[in-house]
Amino acid sequence: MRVRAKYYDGLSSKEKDVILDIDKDSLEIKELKLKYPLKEVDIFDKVGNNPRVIDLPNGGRIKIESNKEVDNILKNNSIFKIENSKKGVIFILIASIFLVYFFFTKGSDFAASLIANNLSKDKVDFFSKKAFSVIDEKYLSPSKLPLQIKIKILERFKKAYPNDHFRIIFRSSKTIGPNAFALPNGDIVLLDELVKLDDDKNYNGILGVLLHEKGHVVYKHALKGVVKGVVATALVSYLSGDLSFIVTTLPTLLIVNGYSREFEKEADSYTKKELQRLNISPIPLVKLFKKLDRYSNSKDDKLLKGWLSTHPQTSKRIEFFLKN
Amino acid sequence: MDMDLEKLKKHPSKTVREYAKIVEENRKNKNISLDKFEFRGEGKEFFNIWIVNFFLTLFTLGIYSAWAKVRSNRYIWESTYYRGSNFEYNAKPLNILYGRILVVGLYIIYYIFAKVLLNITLTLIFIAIFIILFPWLMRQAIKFKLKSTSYRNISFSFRAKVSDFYKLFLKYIILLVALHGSYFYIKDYIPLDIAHIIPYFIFVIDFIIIGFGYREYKEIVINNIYYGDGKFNFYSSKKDTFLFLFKIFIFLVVSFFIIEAVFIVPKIVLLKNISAAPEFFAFFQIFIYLIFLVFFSFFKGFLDGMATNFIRNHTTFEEGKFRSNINPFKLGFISVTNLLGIIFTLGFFYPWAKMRYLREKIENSSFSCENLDYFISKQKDEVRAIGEEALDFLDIDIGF
Repeated sequence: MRVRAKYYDGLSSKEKDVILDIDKDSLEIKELKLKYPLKEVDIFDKVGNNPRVIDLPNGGRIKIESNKEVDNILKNNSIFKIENSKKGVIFILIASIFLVYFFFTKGSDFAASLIANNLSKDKVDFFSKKAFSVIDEKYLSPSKLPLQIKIKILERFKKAYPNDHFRIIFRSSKTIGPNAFALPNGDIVLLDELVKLDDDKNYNGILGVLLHEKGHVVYKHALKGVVKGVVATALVSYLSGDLSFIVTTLPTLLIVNGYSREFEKEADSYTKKELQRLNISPIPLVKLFKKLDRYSNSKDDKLLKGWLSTHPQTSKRIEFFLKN
Repeated sequence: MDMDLEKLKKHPSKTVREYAKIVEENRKNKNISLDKFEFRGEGKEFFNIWIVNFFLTLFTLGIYSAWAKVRSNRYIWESTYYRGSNFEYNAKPLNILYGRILVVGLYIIYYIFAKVLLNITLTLIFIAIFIILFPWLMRQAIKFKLKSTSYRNISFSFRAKVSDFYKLFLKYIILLVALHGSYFYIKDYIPLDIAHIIPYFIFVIDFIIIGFGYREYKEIVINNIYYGDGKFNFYSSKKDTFLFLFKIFIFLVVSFFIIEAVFIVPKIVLLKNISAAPEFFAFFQIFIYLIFLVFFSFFKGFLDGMATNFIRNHTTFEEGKFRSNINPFKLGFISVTNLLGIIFTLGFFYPWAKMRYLREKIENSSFSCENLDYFISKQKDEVRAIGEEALDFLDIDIGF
């Protein structure tokens, strides 16, 4: 077939209108005495409705205005075909939404457990101790609890888990308030301020909190949180295009916070299950919740709000623990 | 080769002063016939390309992103026309992929040093190496982008020396360090009655230094851009530069007061409801954040418009003249509405946003050139994409 085309020789910026003869095997520009088999020329994929580009072995370039008959001869690649069919685009759109959902849920969990399983215990221990030493130096001071109480709590935990090697690290901190947190290696940091709030003789409230923190370790929440944060950041910055980082931080934070709420629920149901297994009443834990709630309501400073500040609404949690 | 081609090819090399004169004359001459740049990109068409890119990038865990970049850049370049001919983007996806892998690898190493091992010495060494490499990266990035761009099958090229970039960075770093360093040492001796205005004074000087640094940077960049054997020139007199900076300064000051005024309302509401539910606080934080974003993206568009006008109106290509009539307020408005569109469609408005922003910038530019046919190709050499990928990663714009 015969089409109008533009020819650029690659040596100067001259534009030449030419007549191009093109068939299944070759192309020819008679007036320039150029003839090549199609195998030897570089036919570019089409992008949108833009002119078709063909590079010749002599350094020249041909451009042909978008033309269906030419497309039939030169064939379009599959990506172009998908982009230009309504069904294809709708399918890709739906598939993308599913893929995003998959990456946030199963994909992140899978990546996190993959990383977790490939990290040796020594390494996890090393990172945990390193991270703890930073926090310890900055915010924590030695515990002032009497030895008896410490032993009581340790024994309480030991009774529940005779075969586990979790350590409980006792510290106190005025800046953090009543709190407890778990390190990735399973060590749990318990602050005096929290122990003082529990008036149960056997420290069953504290045991509940420790179980909750252990739940985080069992489900590898710290690592999952990091992986999900990375996935969320990558996706949000891709979707928002070239907008700067400021635009992307808030949506990312919202997504990650949503996840942490999910983690809390998971740790709570772990706690409930373990309490039932150990035949311990949830009442002391519920009482501790109420005290913590009163405590955090009395503080305006976010930092001082204590263990509850990063956790779901107290009334809902109490309901959860008291329900059978 | 024809005779006139031969003649034009060997145009006498001009001195910087002569080029400056051409720029000035062109700027004052209002009777030049100008041809507009044209942008034929459409949101719907770009959406199809963008969503397929998005899916494949996700599906291949990011590897396809190099091909995706070439495809969307090709769409944008090929949709930009001047006198009926479109621009061409010729970068090879594999080059971009290598660059990306290297940059992501380096970032992971940095992340491990800084966030996991918490090793301050190694982190600082890493940052120092990055700062030392930065000017080189910058030059590579510009080189790659220009090398990948052609018009009528003739490539653009970039011939700046690495040393030019190092000199520029060193000069301005020394200037700023000297200014702030001397302020740090003398601030205890400044009489109290004027001490409180000194920081503002320092801010103004900073602003002027950075403004002139920007001009010098543009001189190094644009004066080393070639199309075939034709040369681009950028020249702006001190007076013009001051005027440009002054306008931006006034804009900054005015908007500072507007922001203060706007934020008074939420501040009062927050203070009155200090003991309200946490949900209320969260809602207010998002609200304030949105207001901040609206201002921020307006500045971005406005400054982009101002700077683009300033640069293009002081640039020539050989004897040809550029003109740019972007309305900075309109570009700021487009920037804000784009941002809101993207937020409220969870990102799906992006293709349309990109197209309308580009259209506004491209279609308000024009160029006069008597004869477009006589620019001769220079030899092609390969440039690796590492520079551009590093700058892409850091979100630094090198366009002019």
